[in-house]
Amino acid sequence: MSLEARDLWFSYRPGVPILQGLSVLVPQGKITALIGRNGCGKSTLLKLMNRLLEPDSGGVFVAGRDLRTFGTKELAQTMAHLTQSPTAPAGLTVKELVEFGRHPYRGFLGRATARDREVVEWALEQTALVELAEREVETLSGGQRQRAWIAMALAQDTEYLLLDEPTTYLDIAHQLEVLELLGQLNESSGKTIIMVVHDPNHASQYAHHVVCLAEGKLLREGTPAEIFTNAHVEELFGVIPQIFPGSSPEKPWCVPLRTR
Amino acid sequence: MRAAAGYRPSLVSAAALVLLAGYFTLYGGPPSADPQYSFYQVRLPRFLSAVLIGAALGLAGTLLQLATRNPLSEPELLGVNQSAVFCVVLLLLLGGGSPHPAFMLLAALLGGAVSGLAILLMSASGAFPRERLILAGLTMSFFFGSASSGLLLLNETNLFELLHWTAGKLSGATWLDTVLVGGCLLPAGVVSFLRAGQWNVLLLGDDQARGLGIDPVARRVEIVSLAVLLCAVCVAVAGPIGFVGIIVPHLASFMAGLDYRRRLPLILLMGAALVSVSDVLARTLLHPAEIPVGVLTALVGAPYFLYRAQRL
Amino acid sequence: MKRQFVFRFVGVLSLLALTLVLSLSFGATDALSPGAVVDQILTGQGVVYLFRLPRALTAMMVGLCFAISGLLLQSLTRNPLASPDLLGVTAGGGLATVIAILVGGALAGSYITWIAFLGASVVAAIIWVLGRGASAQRFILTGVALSALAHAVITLLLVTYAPSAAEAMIWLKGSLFGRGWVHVKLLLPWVGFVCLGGVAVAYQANPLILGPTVATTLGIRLSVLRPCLWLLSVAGAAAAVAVSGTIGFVGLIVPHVARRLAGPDLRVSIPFSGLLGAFFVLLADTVGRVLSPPLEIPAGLICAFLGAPYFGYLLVKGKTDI
Repeated sequence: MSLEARDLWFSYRPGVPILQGLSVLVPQGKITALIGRNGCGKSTLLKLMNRLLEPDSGGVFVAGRDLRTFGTKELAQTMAHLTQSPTAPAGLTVKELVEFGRHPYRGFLGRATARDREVVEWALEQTALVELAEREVETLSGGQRQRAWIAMALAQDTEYLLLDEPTTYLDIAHQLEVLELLGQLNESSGKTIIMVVHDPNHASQYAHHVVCLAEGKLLREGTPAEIFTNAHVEELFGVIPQIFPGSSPEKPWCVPLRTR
Repeated sequence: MRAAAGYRPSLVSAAALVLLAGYFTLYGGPPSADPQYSFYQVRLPRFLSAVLIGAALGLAGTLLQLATRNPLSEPELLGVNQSAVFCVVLLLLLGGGSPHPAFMLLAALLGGAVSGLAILLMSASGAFPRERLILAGLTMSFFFGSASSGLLLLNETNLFELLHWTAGKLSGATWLDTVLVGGCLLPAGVVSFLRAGQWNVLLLGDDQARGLGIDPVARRVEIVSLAVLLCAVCVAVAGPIGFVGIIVPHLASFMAGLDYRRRLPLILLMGAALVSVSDVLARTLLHPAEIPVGVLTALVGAPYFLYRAQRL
Repeated sequence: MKRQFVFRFVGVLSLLALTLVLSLSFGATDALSPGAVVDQILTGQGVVYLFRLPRALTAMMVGLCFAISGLLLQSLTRNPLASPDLLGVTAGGGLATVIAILVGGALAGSYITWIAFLGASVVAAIIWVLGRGASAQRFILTGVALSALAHAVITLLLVTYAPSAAEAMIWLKGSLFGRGWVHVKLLLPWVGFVCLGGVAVAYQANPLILGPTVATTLGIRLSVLRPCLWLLSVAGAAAAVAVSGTIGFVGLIVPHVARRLAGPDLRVSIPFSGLLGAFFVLLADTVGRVLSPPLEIPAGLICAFLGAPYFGYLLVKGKTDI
């Protein structure tokens, strides 16, 4: 199923458009990174794709079907969204958090089925949290906590996984932990992952497809090799970079040297 | 500093309102049997008490806002009024009849001190973010309010008299009351004016204040003690009158900026105007019944509080 | 339910039963043996049947309503300090009731709970409109201001209409004095509504603790769920205040204790909260009656005396993070 944004216009306040006629097609079964400067509309685009926000005009289409025709439960079964720095209330265990992911599938009174238990187990295994299942979420390290939220998103058993800055507040080790997990998930279960990232190297090393936004418009999109050239990076971020070849030519490293 | 919009005009209008209220209090209303007595022993002390209480409450509110760094602080909302009332009601129940105002003042002071202590504990740096402070204060207000009501229920004979008093009333104010309030307001006002420079620093936060050589805890104790004193004397004389302490400081800062010294005269005058005008209205609106002043200030103050809360 | 919850539930239930027995056996008049109590209930005669039993039932129902109302509000606003008293919902109900009493007389009017519900709904609607989409703090403060306003008007009415206000005032301050079978009948449908409604929304409302955004991504229709929670909460608080006046702290404290005993799952904490609320108010009323007869200390006073220090403790220990 393809996920597509067509001619999206959106503004939080009238007269101040955040997105201006943005159209982008997210490749299925791949990891797509959304990058750009602060305020370019990355998080807004993600929220529009999950119908957390309604566009002023234009629409989002899943397999050609307008997002607006989806019921709330149906949408929750199609897309999982990890918000920026989510907080779990005190006393909630990892397992309880992950179980929330099954909410869109459970009946009105919330009876848990065998399938629910299966999926929760699987989600905990994928995120290597089986041993930590009974620990309270707030007692975990940053990376573990993020994995717990990803596990909840996994339990939702959706085709699409939308992540808003999943690595921003983590230290380097935890950042890589999360990114490697996402890569594994994509490979093993073929989920389509869209993530907003700040660090260009997170995009270049871990994404198949990179979408660059500038001032609410699509600047360019393509593979990391296509995107991360001196000229393009300078145009997008306003910094002079040094581009290094990585372990493979498709994944160059981008080191910012100085401002323009 | 925000531009002081119309400092002098507001001083003048506040003073004018006070004088207007004074005129109505002293010369208005039905003539009494003994005009001399009425003027000197009933109306004049009542008017002066209203003026002084208004000024005192305005000052108390300002002080509490300063000590808690919270624009919504107010004696009523932080429980100071209510705890003072509770102690006075306790005194009335145990002592029976009408005790000497000095005893009422002592009781009110004791009660107010309890809340004051709680406020001090809660405004220690970082301990209570602003909304939590208000809610904690509300809980105390609630607690003492319920306790007072419960005690009142046990004392059914004086029920209505006490009920009226617990909403704030100025009738029956005597010269002794006036002197008591004035006697507390004057030193409080002078002290606060002299210390204003030091106290302003508290607005920067405890750590910054220490860095500048000010001991925030000691200063806060000073400020809260003064506030409690002012509230206690007002409660002892007229019962709890709420919301003056939140309206007046804000309006004054709107006119005079944030500098405490500049605001002070305006606060005193505006407070006086608010309460004295409310008192006139309280007497005349439902004549011959008398509305408790506290009800009027609440009817004006609560919507204002509502408005302020929206802007948070 | 997990095993530990079952134990605790049974524990609280036992406490409630014990308190009920005490409540029926002791009072301003003679203390009765359990046998006499049962006898009187079965034959429908005597002080137990005529006075103590309906009063105890009313106390329990009032406690249940306030407690569940508070829990639903706290879940809805994600604010552990929300409660129908703080937000002015009970004050609104109280104001409507006072007006009704002053205008219509006799507390036993069968419309009293509906009138209270109307008053409480008006306040709830105003809070909703003004506070919606705002930070939780602003929401609460809006409620506080409205509560103060409603209380001021109540005081105004009571003082102005002094003679006929006697009844209103005594009732308003939170007591179960003189509550009888008529009040039980008044409350019963509302209790049923709140309980059934609570059970129905419990599972759906669980994701609210993760915040509105996450809840939406999990498929919750906030535009449907929130009004339902409001409705249930207001209904519970209004019915309770119409019958007993403002018994503060039940709606604030009991949900906290319930959550600590029952965990975050609303399917467990709602029944717990109801049970604890019933226990708390019944206990307060019983203690108030037997402490020094014939003097009766209002239940509201005892609840405040017990509740506020505990709440202070919660605040100090930081167990009420906003």
